[in-house]
Amino acid sequence: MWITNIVTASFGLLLHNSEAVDPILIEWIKHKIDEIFGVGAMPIVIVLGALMLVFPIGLMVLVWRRARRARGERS
Amino acid sequence: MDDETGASPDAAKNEQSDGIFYGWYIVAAMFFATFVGVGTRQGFGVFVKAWEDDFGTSVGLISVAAGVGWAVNGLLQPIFGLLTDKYGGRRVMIISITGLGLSTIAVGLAPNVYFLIGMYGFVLSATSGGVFPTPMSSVVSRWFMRKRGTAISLFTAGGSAGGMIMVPFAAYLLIIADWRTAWFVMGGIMLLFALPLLAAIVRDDPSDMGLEQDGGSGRGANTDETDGHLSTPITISVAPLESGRWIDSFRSLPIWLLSSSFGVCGITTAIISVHFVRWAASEDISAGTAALAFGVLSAINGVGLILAGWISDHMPRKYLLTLVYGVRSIAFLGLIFLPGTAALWTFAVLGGASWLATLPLTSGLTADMYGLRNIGTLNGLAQMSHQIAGGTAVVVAGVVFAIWGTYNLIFGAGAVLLVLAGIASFAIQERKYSIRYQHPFHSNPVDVPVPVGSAGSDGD
Repeated sequence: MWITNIVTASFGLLLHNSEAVDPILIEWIKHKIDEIFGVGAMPIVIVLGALMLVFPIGLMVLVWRRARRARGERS
Repeated sequence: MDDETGASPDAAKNEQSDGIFYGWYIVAAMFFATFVGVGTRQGFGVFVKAWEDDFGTSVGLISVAAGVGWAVNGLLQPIFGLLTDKYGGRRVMIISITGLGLSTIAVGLAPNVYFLIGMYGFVLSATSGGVFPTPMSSVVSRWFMRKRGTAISLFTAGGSAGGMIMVPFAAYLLIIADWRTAWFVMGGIMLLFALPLLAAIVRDDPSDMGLEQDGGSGRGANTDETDGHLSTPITISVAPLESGRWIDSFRSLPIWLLSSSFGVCGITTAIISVHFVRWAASEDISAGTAALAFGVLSAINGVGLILAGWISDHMPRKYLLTLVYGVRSIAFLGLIFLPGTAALWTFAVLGGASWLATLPLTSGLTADMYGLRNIGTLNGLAQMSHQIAGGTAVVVAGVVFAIWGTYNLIFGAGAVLLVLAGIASFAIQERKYSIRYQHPFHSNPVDVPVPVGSAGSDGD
């Protein structure tokens, strides 16, 4: 029985390396987000998605501008 | 001239154009790759209920995928380390994140739980090990010496951020669409954003871009003149314990002290990760409160991680590592001696502050003492000891709890092991063996860059 519990618990590993989030925690987080914002799932997906994509796009723009400036200075 | 990977070094050569050392762009790209990669793996827990319903299977069987993934990820770390030393971290990361993106999409196509176990447990977990943390730590160690701790902690923090943003994102995607769409989207983000970032920005070595470690000019301008005890040359020198073959590193004591301490880190974090909520239940604390405490712990760990990395660049890393193990030991003792709720919150704060801080300190110390030639392999072995020790500890803790019905014995053993890890860290002769404390004229006077792939020519 204990081995089943341990295997079952293994997806509860959280945030130390790259193990799966605890379902209880994510339910609690979802509940809190709904409670605070109360805007439904779609706007949250859009906001979180935008938040995620701003970083790589911004970084690419910075690197591209840096490279362009370097070429300009050389010529 | 383009480097051998086909990328233009223009951006890096313009070191002075925006005043930011190119290494920080690499750290930023790695942060995002860690954010997506780790965030996706952490998101596994979100989908368990959906899989249970869809596949008509048990939570236990679905959990096998996570358990197998944990083992596979840990066991393959030394292999990715060896590949990093031989072929360069950039190639390993690019191939791995491509595999990670494709396998994430493939999880979305899973027809049954066995496919899920194979794809998530083996392919996805294996390829994620080729992205984070071993190849990243190794590449960053080549780019940074004076700010190595900060740089490693910053990209590692991507994992914490991934947990905070990517996991809720996956949870809400599951509400507006279905679990298959959620995995397609996460895989798409990896392939469309993380992969191009790594490919366009990451370079294995500053010399690939005509730069030097820490952004030095090679004329001594970047020696740390404000802090005499860290007067280190910016050129890549041979570290005091550097050897041609990685296995020779294990003839010296510090690598054993570091690896065994890191194993204790794995033991204590794995026990808490798996058993924290169950311990709370045994103390009559509600699952919601325990989850909230774990959430607080997770938030604090990001701050603790970055602070630890930054501070370690300004003092001997071993003292901080000792402190981190000491603080975690006190947190474990708190679980035994404090009443339920007080123990819970004490642990959330103290445990959170020390949760991930060991990674930049251990990786940084390894690179400082053993140099860059075999850093991938050594980091990979340390990671493997962390994962295997952690996995074993989870099973042992489960058995002990099943027999005695209390976690006190487990937490007590954890506290003792943490004290021993602290002593082991303190015993490391950092000033003697770390390159940070070698005067350029007194240290091994070899001042040549160590090229990626040199391990292969030395008989590895």
